[in-house]
Amino acid sequence: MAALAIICALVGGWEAYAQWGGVDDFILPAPSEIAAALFDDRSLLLRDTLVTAQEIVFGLVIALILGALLALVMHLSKALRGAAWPLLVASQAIPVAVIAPLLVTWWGFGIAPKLFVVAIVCYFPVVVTTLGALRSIDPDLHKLLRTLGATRWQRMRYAEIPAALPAALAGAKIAVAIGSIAAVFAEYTGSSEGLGHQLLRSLPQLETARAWAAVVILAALSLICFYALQFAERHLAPWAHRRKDHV
Amino acid sequence: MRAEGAVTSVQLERVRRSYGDLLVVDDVSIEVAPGEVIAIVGPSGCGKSTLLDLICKLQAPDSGSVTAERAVLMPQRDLLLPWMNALQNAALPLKLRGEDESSAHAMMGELGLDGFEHAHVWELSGGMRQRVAFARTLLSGAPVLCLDEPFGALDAITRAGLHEWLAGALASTPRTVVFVTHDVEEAVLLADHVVVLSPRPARVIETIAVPLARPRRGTDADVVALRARVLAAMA
Repeated sequence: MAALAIICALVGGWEAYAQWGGVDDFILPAPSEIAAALFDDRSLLLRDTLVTAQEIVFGLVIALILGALLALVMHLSKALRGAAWPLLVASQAIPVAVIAPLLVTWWGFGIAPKLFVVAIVCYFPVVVTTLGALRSIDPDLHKLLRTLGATRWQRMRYAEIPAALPAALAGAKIAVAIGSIAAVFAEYTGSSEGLGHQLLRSLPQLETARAWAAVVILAALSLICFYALQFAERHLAPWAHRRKDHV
Repeated sequence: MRAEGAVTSVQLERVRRSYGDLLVVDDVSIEVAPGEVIAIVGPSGCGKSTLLDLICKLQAPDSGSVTAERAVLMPQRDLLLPWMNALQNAALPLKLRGEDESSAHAMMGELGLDGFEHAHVWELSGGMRQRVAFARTLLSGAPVLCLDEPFGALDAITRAGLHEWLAGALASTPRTVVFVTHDVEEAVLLADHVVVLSPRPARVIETIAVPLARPRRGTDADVVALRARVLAAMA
């Protein structure tokens, strides 16, 4: 209730300032104007939303799978772990602004370069959290499983993969916020549709309310992805929230 | 499986083991007959857990030899897997070998865990968790059980109940048991022999036979006397 009141007060304050504060509505549109733009331009925005939602969701899924697999491989091989860390950190230092236009020249205006950008930005937190969970498995558990006759694959299947699952999802949750920014950015550098493309087109046309409407939708997409991952975590790995001690 | 006519189930001969410069086990010889229960007592950090690792072939000695039948380790903490229910945890060794898991049901009953088969691990009390861990250890079918402070984390009442249950379980299906404990009374109550180790590096100070009939009670005069003897050896 308190949270709702705070949000209402903030939006109300914004509305009052935009209405009576003498600000031009193409500089700062009031929430009511944004809401009107959401409604008036709904068919246009819906088309763009579907495009961007696909980029974010599929990009996140790729990041989740790629990140978890990388973490597993790095967990299994000390040599690979040593070699991969600097490369992974370096991959995060690549300015997306530099490679995104290149991707467009290689792969065109379609979804592929967008997925690449979202995935490359989002996979890193997944690797970090997943590898952390794999490394923190109690060494006694490995001993126990070995004396029970478990093969390497069985130890992975019964101990490591279940321990990694909630951590990978937690990493993806961290990545959600930067994922939507990455999708918008990828659209900036070359696309004919999507919310980022819409932003880029609306602002020069002084359709500020429509641009803000796109931002509101982006925020909503991030929230939906975040809670979807939370839901998956609770249902696929209920123990992660219940256990008092760890394995 | 135990070789016919084997006279020893576990044999450590002049075993030495160090981690880097740190010598933890020094010239230890221990012999355990099939079906015998051996308690290893000694100050903490003296290398008792290393001895269990050696018997379980999780480590190799630097020198000396370790001969042992297939041994299963029960670590100090129960280490139940939270992504499996109580029954699945107990049945894990059967699953790993691809065997029929129905015997796990009966074992849960014997351990007084009926009705909790499908409970989540976090819903079980400490004593129940330990019993599930015991069920898992026994269902491994290994002829040698290596128990690392199996009752360490339990309260006195729960511990007494589990002592009784373990004594009964071993009477009906004998196994060779090597268990590490801090609790001298527990050692005298459960074991046929008590091996007293020195502070690190572990050496055998004395092996004390416990030729007492079962069931034993902590208040029996013989138990009290042997307890005093073990404590004297440790001092």
